Amino acid sequence: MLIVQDLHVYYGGLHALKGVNLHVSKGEIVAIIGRNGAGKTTLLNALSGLVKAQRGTITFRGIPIQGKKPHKIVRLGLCQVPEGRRIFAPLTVSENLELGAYLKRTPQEKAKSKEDLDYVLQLFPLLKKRLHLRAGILSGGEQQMLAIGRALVGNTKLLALDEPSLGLAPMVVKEIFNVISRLRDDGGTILLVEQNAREALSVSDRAYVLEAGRVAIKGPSSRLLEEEKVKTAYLGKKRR
Amino acid sequence: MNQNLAQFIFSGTTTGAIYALIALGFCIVENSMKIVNFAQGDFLTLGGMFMFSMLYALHLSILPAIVLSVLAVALIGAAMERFALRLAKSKETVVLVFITIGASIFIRGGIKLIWGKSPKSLPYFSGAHPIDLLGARILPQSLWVIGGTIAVFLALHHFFHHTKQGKAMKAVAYDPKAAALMGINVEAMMMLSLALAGGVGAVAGILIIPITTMTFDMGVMLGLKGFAAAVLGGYGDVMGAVIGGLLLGLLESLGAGLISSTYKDVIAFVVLLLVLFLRPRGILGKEEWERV
Ligand SMILES: Nc1ncnc2c1ncn2[C@@H]1O[C@H](COP(=O)(O)OP(=O)(O)OP(=O)(O)O)[C@@H](O)[C@H]1O
Ligand SMILES: [Mg+2]
Repeated sequence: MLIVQDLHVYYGGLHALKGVNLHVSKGEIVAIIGRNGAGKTTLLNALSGLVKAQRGTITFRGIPIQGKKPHKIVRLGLCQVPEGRRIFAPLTVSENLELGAYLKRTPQEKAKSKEDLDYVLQLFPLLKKRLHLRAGILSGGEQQMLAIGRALVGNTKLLALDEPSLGLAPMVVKEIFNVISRLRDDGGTILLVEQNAREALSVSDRAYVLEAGRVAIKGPSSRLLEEEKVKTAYLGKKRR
Repeated sequence: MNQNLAQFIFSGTTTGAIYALIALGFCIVENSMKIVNFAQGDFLTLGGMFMFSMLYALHLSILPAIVLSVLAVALIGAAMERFALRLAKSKETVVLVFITIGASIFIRGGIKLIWGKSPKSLPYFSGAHPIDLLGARILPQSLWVIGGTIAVFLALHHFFHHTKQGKAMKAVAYDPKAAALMGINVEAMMMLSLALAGGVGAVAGILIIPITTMTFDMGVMLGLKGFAAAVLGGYGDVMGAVIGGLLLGLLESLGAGLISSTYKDVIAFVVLLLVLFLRPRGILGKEEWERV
């Protein structure tokens, strides 16, 4: 579904991605783990068209998407839940969800939109009670749920999540990961960026370890969980 | 005395309505790009000038002249986004605001070149015979001004609160990157907002110039007054723009009538400063994150 080849991104003189190769197949959950500054967010933003890739190709559902405008990429079904959630705080929860379905215009799409909304509210029952509140007053966990829900009501074919567990209480983190495995069971395709390596490897099928802009290790998640290098560097006793 | 008071209130409401319209123009651009568009006042002048040409050079009747003038200025607004703001390398607020100041100077120069420096006027929409209302004598044009402002306000209120595009525009203002991730075409939204601001500016000009006459640089003062009104009401709030405009118009008119007309313009800015000291967010202003 997604194939990334030799992707390079520079911020001015800073070489943030140094030739990344990866792929995601339909129905897979693929994790990308790595430390602060490894280039995880840069990778997702390059996929979404928010930062420009200077070299390399990105193919999504058979279509080259590098250099395309962000809204065109979303239209193809690659939807990102950005780091830090970035919900529209001044708008209500239901308005946020409405904007998630922004691209749905035709009557059929709108009918589907209703279905998708029901699905989201079933995934996150908490949101149901908050529909008419301003999104800005939600708790961090609720905001993350809204951010994920907002991406799911679109025509999403691949969901890219950037550190969905960041800054959340352990209970909430667990809930978010439950939802991710639920999405997989329902046939979703997910690219999951995480620093929380243990959880990310437990929920995913395959994983890439990003170090300083390069893929350092890759393989099935179950294998990475056992690998010494990963264990010492990312699964140490100290849990975030 | 009582009769005078009614007169002051009506004339204050009329100028207030114009300030409100200009404030609404500021409000639209704030609600997509979060910048102050200093060319807003010049959109008003442009609207008047186009109207002048449509009526006296092309000899169109009033309705098509209005429609074409509004469209022309909307197009200029859109062009300002497409060929000036969008091309800026830096998207910092200061840079963008500076570009609007440049655009304002550029537009005024263009107006002077094309239409000249001599003052011009436009005909009343419907006659010059004042109507007696509550002891005050009002020009029918004043009613057009007030009615036009109400119509624009209702349309914008509906747009920002009840349409998907309006909400998308506010989303773009709040967080353009997150908006892009919803599939919103951020640049198109910004262009649309400048076009709307241009159209609203043109409407303001077409409505008020029959009462005031126009010169190429009238946009400077009116722009500042509209800006003051927008700040007064709570910058970016549609309802606030209207309240701020009316308040400013009434204060000016009552101040000039009851105190001295020498201080008419001063009053606006004194009130503005007072509001900024006492309530920096304006009358209807909300916290940053909860603003609509
Ligand atoms: N807009 C930017 N301009 C300049 N440099 C940037 C920008 N964004 C990121 N960088 C740099 O690029 C590198 C990769 O950053 P990136 O945000 O992709 O890392 P990350 O893996 O997402 O980190 P984190 O876990 O902290 O989110 C870092 O060195 C960072 O400082
Ligand atoms: Mg990151």
